[in-house]
Amino acid sequence: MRKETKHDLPIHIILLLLGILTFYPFVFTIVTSFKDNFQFIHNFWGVTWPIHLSNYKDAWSRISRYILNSGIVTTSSVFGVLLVASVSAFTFARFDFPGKDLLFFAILSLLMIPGILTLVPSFLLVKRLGLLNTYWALILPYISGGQVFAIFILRSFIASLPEELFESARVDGASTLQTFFSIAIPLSKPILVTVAIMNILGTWNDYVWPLVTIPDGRLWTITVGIVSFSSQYSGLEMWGPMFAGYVIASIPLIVLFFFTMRYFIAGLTSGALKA
Amino acid sequence: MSNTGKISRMVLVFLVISLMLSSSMVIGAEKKVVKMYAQALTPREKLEADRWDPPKYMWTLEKEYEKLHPDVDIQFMPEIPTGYEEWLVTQMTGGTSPEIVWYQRGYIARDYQKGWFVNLTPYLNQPNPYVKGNKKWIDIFQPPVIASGTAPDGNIYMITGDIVGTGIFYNKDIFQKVGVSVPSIWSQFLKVQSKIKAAGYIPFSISMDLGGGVQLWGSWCTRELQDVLYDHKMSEIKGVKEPVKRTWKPGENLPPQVMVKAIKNGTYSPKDPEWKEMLRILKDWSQYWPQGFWALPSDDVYRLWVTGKAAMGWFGSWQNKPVRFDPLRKFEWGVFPKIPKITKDTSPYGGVDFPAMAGVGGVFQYAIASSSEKRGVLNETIDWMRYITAPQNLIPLLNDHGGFAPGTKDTKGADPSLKVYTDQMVKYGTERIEPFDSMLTREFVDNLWKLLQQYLAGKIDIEKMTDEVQKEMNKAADQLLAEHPDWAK
Amino acid sequence: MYRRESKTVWQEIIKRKQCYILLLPTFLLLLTFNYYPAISAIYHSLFDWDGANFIRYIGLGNFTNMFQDPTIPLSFLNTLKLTIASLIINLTFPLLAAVLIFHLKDMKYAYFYRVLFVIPMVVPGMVVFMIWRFIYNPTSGLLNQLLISMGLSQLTRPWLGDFDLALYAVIFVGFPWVAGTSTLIYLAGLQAIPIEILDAVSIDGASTWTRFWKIELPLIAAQIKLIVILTLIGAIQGFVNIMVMTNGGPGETTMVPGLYLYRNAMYYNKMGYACAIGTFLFLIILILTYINFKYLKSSVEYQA
Repeated sequence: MRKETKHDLPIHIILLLLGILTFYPFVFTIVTSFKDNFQFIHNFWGVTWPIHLSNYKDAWSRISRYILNSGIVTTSSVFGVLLVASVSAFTFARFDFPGKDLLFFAILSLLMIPGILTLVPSFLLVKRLGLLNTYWALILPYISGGQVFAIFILRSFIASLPEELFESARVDGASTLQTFFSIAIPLSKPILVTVAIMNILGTWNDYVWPLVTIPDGRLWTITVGIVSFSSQYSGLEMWGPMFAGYVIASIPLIVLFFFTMRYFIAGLTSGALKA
Repeated sequence: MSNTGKISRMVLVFLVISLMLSSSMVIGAEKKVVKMYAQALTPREKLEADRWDPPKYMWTLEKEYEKLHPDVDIQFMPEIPTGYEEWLVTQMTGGTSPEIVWYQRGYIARDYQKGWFVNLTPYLNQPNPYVKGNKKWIDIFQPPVIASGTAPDGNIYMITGDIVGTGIFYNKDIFQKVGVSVPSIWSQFLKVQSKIKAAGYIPFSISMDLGGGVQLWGSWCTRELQDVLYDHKMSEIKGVKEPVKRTWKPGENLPPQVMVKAIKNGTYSPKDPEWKEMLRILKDWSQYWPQGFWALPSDDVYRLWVTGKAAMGWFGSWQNKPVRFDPLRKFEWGVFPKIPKITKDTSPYGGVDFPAMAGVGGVFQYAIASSSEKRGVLNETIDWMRYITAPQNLIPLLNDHGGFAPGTKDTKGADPSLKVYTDQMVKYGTERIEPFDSMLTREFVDNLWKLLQQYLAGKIDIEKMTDEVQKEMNKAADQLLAEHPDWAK
Repeated sequence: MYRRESKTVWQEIIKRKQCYILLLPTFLLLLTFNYYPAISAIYHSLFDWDGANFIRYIGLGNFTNMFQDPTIPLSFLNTLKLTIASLIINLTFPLLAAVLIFHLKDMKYAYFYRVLFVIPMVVPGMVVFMIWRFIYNPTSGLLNQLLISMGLSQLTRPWLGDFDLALYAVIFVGFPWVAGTSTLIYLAGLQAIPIEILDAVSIDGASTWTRFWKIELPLIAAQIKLIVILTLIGAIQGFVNIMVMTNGGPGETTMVPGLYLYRNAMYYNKMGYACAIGTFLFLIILILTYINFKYLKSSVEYQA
């Protein structure tokens, strides 16, 4: 097992300090979710009484119909990204072929175009493909966009895996695909989880794209529902239900995080090297 | 089962589910659908968090209208408080917008040439069948109200139906404690604020931040002051002999064409003593504003006032209800009947009352998308518009919302608490020089607010500020002349 | 790695056709959903275009205008400051957190801290901005109140309205910058270090500091490079934080190209000009990333 470091207490102190500062916005969200508008205006920071559980009832009434949409869109997109990106990242990482760097850069460069410039052309494209008001209008662009980041991150990770592992598998007669599934993927679990989390957050919280590509509002995602609690007129927003909506929306995410964190286990490589 | 198998099976399941769910239900093709984005008038059910009833009257109107026209289906879109710009530009470009969209006067100049909206002038000159004895639809509106939807090409692209009032809200308890009363002239106003400041309160809550503060209050302040200070020079700027009165008559104000000419021939310039007076008065007033007012988030302006830290604030008529229903507000409040008048002892250009502290176009500002024509529902859309603008429908609709006064000539039954704003407009008229946010280009406006902010924050002096504004003004005037060569005549 | 054995490029391509087939799904998606809009954006930088129906070819006109536009150099300078600050931030705090978690001896605590730093990621950006705007509030904000109560009222500032400090105030938002994917990426990298190496080092009796500096850090060089590139890409284009916190102000002191581009596209009817600025940003990021990629190639081999 790993060597124990002698001084753990200073580590705990620093980490706890960082943790408290980092966790505060989440606490703020929860506290605010129980306030009514007037409490929020008069008291920005503190806990106020009475608490308004009805905010959750209000938030639920507006976003419950969208939860399934968010679930479907996010899950499909994340699976799609992981699938497509890991294959491509593997290819870039472990093979050499003409134009490899060029193709890789061609993919990476897509991250460098500011989003507002591509909004209208992307929208018109999706419309022309007849995908408006369907889940595909969201899922396909999310997979396509999300894979760019994912390929970039996964590639560097897979490239740093030791060559011996692949050699020995090939010597044993494994095909490319088999080395992919039995070596590359298992060893990349922590980074795959990271990519999954990034994509989950990105698609779950995305607001503008579902707003514009689902004109009939039926397949809107949860975030669009939550934003409807704000207002263009100051004083007419509904902060309490909005924050309650944020809390409700974060529950599936937190559950997902707990679930995926199990894969973030140390010592994964120890087993592989000994094989 | 191997990982691959599990994964691909799940993917397959999701694909199937989403395919099933995405096959949209076919709407009955017999009915003509008129979809409307009503913004703040969008009807909705009451939530627990609502302290007063939310707007619902659109449903009433919808029901009655559909009884009269069983072949029409009126639908309302849910509200989109954020990202409206992105939504509008994509839906209009793609032709997927609702038939009726909410719109704002400031955007007409930007968008009227894009072919997005229907030119409503011909329809406004036809009778409105829902108003007894009406020969022309346009006649039911107060002229300045409907005229605000005019684009630089002279056509009207937007139906404006309401008036938004503003007022200086004040804390009666603080006034009593400090021993002051509502001032009627500016010099008194400054004295009142000085006393309030000495007593430890913030006299006037306001923001000049770029996140909405200067766009709102900067605009309100400059438009009011400009009209007073330039009063004696209006005819000269307009290039006419007769005095330019503040009235309800259209064409009495100074639209973009006139201003661009005046800028080019020098009769209107930020170097004018009047313009500089406007800045001086604001600067002088700003000593009574919150510390760091140019970085104060706009939501905090109201917060400072309603928590009793600031004595006064300049808010819109829609703020009435939140103030009235606030159980945590610990003071009595009132609204100034008018902005304290600038007299000769404040400025040599004073002596005229301020124009009404109100503006046309609150929530009832709607444009009709050209795609409605392509979808074959244009006539139905226009008809619905005519229906809801008929005073017997419009007035209860606006009363139901409670924040805005009707902009029709017939105001029978209108909410009396908002009558003060309509009366103000009738009595004092609206400002004659088009406010900066629609006078020139959007780029000019953004730069103007930046410069105003810097000047008020003390970062640049008045000469530098007016030099820069002059530069931007010239640039904007040239750009507009290039787009409208006929304005040079 | 495979060696090049064939003589011509074409033969090589056919030999490696399996690779191209594997890349097919990615490129099919990208060509459909990403390349077309991106190329459309770059293409339109050669036009005077209002975003709708007014369009006129002006070649490099937008670019010459750009170089005469006083807002451009100012905004790029701000972006430079922001990028450098972002790089420093992303290479310190998340790395610190990841290393600290990695060094914990009890797995239970490591799990706890990982969760502690991941959950805050569900909080939407808007809420964080709202909180920080209130902290910086010149009248009743937390920061100024704190300074006053500590007797340091001369240090109070209108933070987001301070003509010199506003940009730094925006940079500081999000402190301590630990809840994010950077931490997770560093952690993933650390956990991929083979156990043998760590055991070997500790047998040699090296101190924690030496272990970190000489072994762990070089072995996560790939992740560090990754984060550098991602930070570059994000910081140079980014503008949402500026837009929400200061909207380019006070005056124009926090203007960045991304925000200027957004305004030109959405409000000024200058979509062509916006595309030109976007293309220019794209080129800058491309060059910087390429330099980073080629010349800071991290070594993949290590001594077993």
